[in-house]
Amino acid sequence: MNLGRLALVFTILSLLGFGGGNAIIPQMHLDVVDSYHWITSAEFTRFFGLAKLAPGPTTTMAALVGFAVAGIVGSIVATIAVFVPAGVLCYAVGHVWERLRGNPWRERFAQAIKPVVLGLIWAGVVTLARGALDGWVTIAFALVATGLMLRTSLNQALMVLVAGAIGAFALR
Amino acid sequence: MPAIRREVVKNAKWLDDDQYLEMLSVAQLLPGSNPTSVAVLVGAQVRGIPGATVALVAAVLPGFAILMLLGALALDSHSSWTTGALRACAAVAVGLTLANAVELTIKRIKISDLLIMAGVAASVLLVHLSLFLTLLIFTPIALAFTKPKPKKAGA
Repeated sequence: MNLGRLALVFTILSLLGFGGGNAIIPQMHLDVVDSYHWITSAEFTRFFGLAKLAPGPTTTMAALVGFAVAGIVGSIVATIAVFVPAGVLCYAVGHVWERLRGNPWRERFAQAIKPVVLGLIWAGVVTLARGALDGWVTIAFALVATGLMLRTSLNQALMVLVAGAIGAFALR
Repeated sequence: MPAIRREVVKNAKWLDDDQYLEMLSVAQLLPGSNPTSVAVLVGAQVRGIPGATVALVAAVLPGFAILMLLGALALDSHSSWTTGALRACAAVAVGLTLANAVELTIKRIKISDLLIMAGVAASVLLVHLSLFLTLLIFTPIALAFTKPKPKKAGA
């Protein structure tokens, strides 16, 4: 049953999402595009782009994947599955972690997980680029956004919005 | 995140700055998106399980509603205009993620970190190693390369 599988995929992503939303991109792509063929790689990156436009965490893109699988029920199931397990875990063990403040093992774990998460984030960049960059125009869009993001403090959602407006003419 | 701090610490006075920073670091350590984890921790501090539940719903629901609306507007239409707009949005989102990765990476140019990053990225991209196995294999390796910091007084 697709709804059950949808719930399972996003629950696992939720519980393994160390380092926030961008670190789970490669595994999400592996599940929803490569394994279950719910959406294409191009759709995956478009969902990701739209999620940057909406307020809140990019992980909310799970709702669009859920919608593609099973309509509005699917979008609700996927959203609950991707946010609630991590939320419950956070509630359950948050105070334990707080009590371990200053514990050398906690600090060591906090340091050690960073390069692992960064490796996942880089893999996510490549995964997204494969689905989204299909010619020199899209590559130019991406590189200009990279430069603006590194050099200015422009709002991300605004950049996506303006790019969408230009793209409607330049990429039609 | 700066807006969350302003509301929670300055306006509502639910926490002081120290408590907020502690919650932020816990949220970064635990799985899950950081803003929603902070919401759960703050909600729990203010009013236990009901507080955490309300905070989580409030952190997710507006984004969910707006994203579904955007999706209905943009993904249903198959005109070349919306396809062009969506392709541009996706390309820019790649650029934003790339910039984020660059910013985080230049802060840690240590050879052991770079090797671990490259190992993780290669395993995921070339071998399609699952997220679970990637974390299981590379976290202990990274721990071995992380020197324990000297204990702070009173820790």
